[in-house]
Amino acid sequence: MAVVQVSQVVKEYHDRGSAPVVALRGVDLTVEAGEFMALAGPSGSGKTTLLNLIGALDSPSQGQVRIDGRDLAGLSPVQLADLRRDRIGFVFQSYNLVPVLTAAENAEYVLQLRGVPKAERRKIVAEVFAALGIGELMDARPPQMSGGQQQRVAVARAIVAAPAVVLADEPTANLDQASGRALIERMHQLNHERGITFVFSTHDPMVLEQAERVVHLVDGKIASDVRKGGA
Amino acid sequence: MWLALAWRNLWRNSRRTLITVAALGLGVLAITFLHTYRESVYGQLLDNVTSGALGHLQIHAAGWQKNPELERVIADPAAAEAAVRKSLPGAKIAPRVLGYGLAGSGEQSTGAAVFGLDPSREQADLRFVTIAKGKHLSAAGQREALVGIDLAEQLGVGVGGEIVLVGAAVDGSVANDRYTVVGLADAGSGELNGSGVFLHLADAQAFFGLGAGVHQLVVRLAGGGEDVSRPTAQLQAQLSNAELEVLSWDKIVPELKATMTEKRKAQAALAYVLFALVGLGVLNAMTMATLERTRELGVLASLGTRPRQLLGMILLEGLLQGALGVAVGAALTVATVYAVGDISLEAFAKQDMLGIRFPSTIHLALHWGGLLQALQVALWTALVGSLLPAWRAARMKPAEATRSY
Amino acid sequence: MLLRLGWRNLWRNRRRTLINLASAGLGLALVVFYGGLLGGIVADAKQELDDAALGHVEIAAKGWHARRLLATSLQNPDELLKKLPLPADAEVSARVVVRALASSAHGAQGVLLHGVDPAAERKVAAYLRDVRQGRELDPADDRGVVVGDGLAERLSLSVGSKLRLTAQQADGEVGADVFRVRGIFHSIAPAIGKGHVIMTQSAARKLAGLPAVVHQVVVQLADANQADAVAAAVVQAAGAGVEAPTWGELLPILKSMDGLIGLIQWLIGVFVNVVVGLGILNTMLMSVLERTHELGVLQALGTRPRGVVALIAAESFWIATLAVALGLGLALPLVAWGEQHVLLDFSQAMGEGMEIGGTSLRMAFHTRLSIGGALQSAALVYAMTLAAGLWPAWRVSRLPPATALRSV
Repeated sequence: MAVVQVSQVVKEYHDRGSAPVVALRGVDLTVEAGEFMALAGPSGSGKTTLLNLIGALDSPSQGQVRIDGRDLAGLSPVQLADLRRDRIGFVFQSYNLVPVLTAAENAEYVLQLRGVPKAERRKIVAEVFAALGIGELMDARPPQMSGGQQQRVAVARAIVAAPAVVLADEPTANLDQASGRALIERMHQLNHERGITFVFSTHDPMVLEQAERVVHLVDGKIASDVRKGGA
Repeated sequence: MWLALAWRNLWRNSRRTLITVAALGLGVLAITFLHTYRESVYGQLLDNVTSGALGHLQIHAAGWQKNPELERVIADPAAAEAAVRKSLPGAKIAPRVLGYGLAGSGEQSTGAAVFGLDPSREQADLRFVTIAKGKHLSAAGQREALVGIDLAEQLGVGVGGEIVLVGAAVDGSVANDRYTVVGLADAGSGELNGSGVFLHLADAQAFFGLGAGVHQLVVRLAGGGEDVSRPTAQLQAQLSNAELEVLSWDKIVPELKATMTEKRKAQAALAYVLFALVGLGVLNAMTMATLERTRELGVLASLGTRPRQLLGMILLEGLLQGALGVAVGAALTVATVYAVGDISLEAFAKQDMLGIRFPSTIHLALHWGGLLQALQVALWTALVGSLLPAWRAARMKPAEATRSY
Repeated sequence: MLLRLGWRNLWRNRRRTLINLASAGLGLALVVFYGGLLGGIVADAKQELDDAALGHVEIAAKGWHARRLLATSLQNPDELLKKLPLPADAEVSARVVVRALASSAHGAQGVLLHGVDPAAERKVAAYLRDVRQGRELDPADDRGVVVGDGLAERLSLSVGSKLRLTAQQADGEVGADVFRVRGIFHSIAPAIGKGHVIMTQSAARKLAGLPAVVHQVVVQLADANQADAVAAAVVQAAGAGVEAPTWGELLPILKSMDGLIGLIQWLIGVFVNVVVGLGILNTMLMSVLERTHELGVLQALGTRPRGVVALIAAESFWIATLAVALGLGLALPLVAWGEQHVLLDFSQAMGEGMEIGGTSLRMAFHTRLSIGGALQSAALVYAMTLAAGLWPAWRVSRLPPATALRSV
């Protein structure tokens, strides 16, 4: 089943005082449930823009974005927020944990938005943290953690609510080689074991190596779409 | 250069600057408006007082103010008047007599304060009473009386009626006479309206056996303000008569002067507290403004700007905001004063404060003294609020500063 | 969670928050303290009536208050008092009131004679409890008077001096008699010190040629708010020949000052809060701006726009709560202390009492604690900080999440 369907999407930015920038020039993309997919391409090729559109953070200038078959056009800000809450998980390049919340509270926040009772929240978060090998970090505050640890907490936060798709924007860009590799392997493992769909943007060769499908964006268009066999 | 730099820096975050200026402006508005209101009230009170019962100055026989005994008279009022004319040109003078007696109407009697006054000298901006009903006393003494409006009601007499005064003359003999009530008088205070009987000066002098003597020479200055110490001194020098005392209004009703002084002090205290609050806002805004420019300030420092120059630049930004705040506050005050116009104080109508009728309508008139006070306080506030962030910025090492961000 | 998040966010910039708390807290303290002071000036009507020997309710024959004629009197006062429905804890004094001329070898002065039962009168007249020379009046002493210090000075009287009193009698004849000064009292109101002479009821009746009547029954109540009810009951019980105006009718200024002071406190509260609020608005704008990116993250995680607003409102809530704690913590003990002690003393400069509208306000100010007024001012602080937070919160919540995320 297609989790994400992007058709004929164009995105222009009109920043005040400068010429409009066309970030996407007609993109068609379908992501099936359970995929482990990478968006590749040089900076400025439109990777982040595309992820923002898929993540219901922004709306396209033209074309259509569907999540779980639901067209995002015409949804109110509240409906979009609820859609993100229920169906989408985010992992950012710069982790973006809320610094005043502990690691566990960062993950719990998402569950609380969904109205999950406190005891159950604790249980789910503990389980996910254990699965990601960061069980001992639950009470740590983000500023006390290393980049690799923060990014694992971010992944935990993205998946605790069992989203339809996890969008990761350059998740390893701020990490050293070893931490980055460990992170991607954890994500891949989650993809296998739990069938969580991952879409990440990257230009890290190590990440591309792990991806099962690699979509290349160049100048706002899809230049290639390669599926690797197996796994 | 510095001024231009500071000015442009202000508008880099125009919203913040405008909010800070608005806070300063409101503070200035509060201070200047309260000042205007207060001084308008005092101006009117003072005008009421100095044009009525008290005048700006009074001459008495020495000791009369403290102990107004009947025999303490100015024996030669003409000489004293001459001294006033010589030392205070343009001043108006009204001679008055004050004694006490029992005023009766046949039906009822009561203790009364009996005044003698000369109707031809009690006019325009120096008149003890205004006529509420009937007419004023005739030019020569014809055994006529004006009765305070409240006293007339108590005695049950009206215009055309008759009252009997019983009292003691200066020689100790019983004084007793009848007078025709020609008018009802408003003497500007509840106390006098309830106890005052006003006779022609000559009649009063005759009743109390005073001869040509009077108790008060009430002086209204041509251009008198609140502070009349100089004319008082001039008159004293001219009189050089140890048997007479010259008292200014603030010595005659010291409580009024004290009330004005204390109120001014209290409002000054309020101004300081208010601006302390505004100052905390300025402190926060300026701290933010310098923190977000840390890197830029570092660059300026590495270009060879001296710490003192950085300090000065940021203080200048504070001062400019203070000046803008004062301008805004002044404009708001002018607008408010014109919008409000007159303030009606119905609650206080016909009420006396310290024996003085409180004006029932306050005509607001701009008083720029308040703006001067606000100017000082606002500039200090802006300056002090900027001092801490400015000092921090000036003391920063350039390398540290450029590292931020 | 929301409140916890708001609380922690508050302390991300400690100095800024502390400055805000100081300004909002001090502002509230100022408003509450000022209100307490204003309240103290006029709140205690009982004190003022006592100082001026006036009543919450004053019973007299109909028409007496308008002209105060000798002949307008209450007959059979003892029987009348027995049947009047007055509260048991009220202080009641019946007076014969005569206007007279007081004279000595040193001058003359119009005065008001109060013929009283000294034991009852001293409870409603503060100055009779402050006899500073000589002694209080003996109930059987028909030759003695107690005078104020102002009159004593004016007529050079001392204890034992002779005082001649002249009054027109009810039949039109002039009555005069000589009395001995037994005591000299002190009043905070110069007009009373100069103008009131106290003697026994029978002495006053004799001087004025009156039968066994009184003119005025002064009633001071434990609860000033009961005045209207008591007055109505008195008129009903006593019949048409009696009037019973209340202090609100006799001294409208005391009542209107009450309302005026409430208004002034409200206006000052609003003004101070606007000025303080502008400062807080600046920091809230800044703190929201700094966290735009983070708020974008929260939106990406599925927080609704309203949730973003609520988060910032939670911060405002904490600022207000702490500021209220600080402000009330500062002001309330001071105001409570000032109820027992003199906080501001203008009596040196302005005299003990300032005459205003027929009463005297004491110039050594106590404060008056008004929990209602304090809570109202505290509510203003909440309204102000919430308003200061709402605008920036609303702005940021409308930003598309992608734009918020792009901001650094």
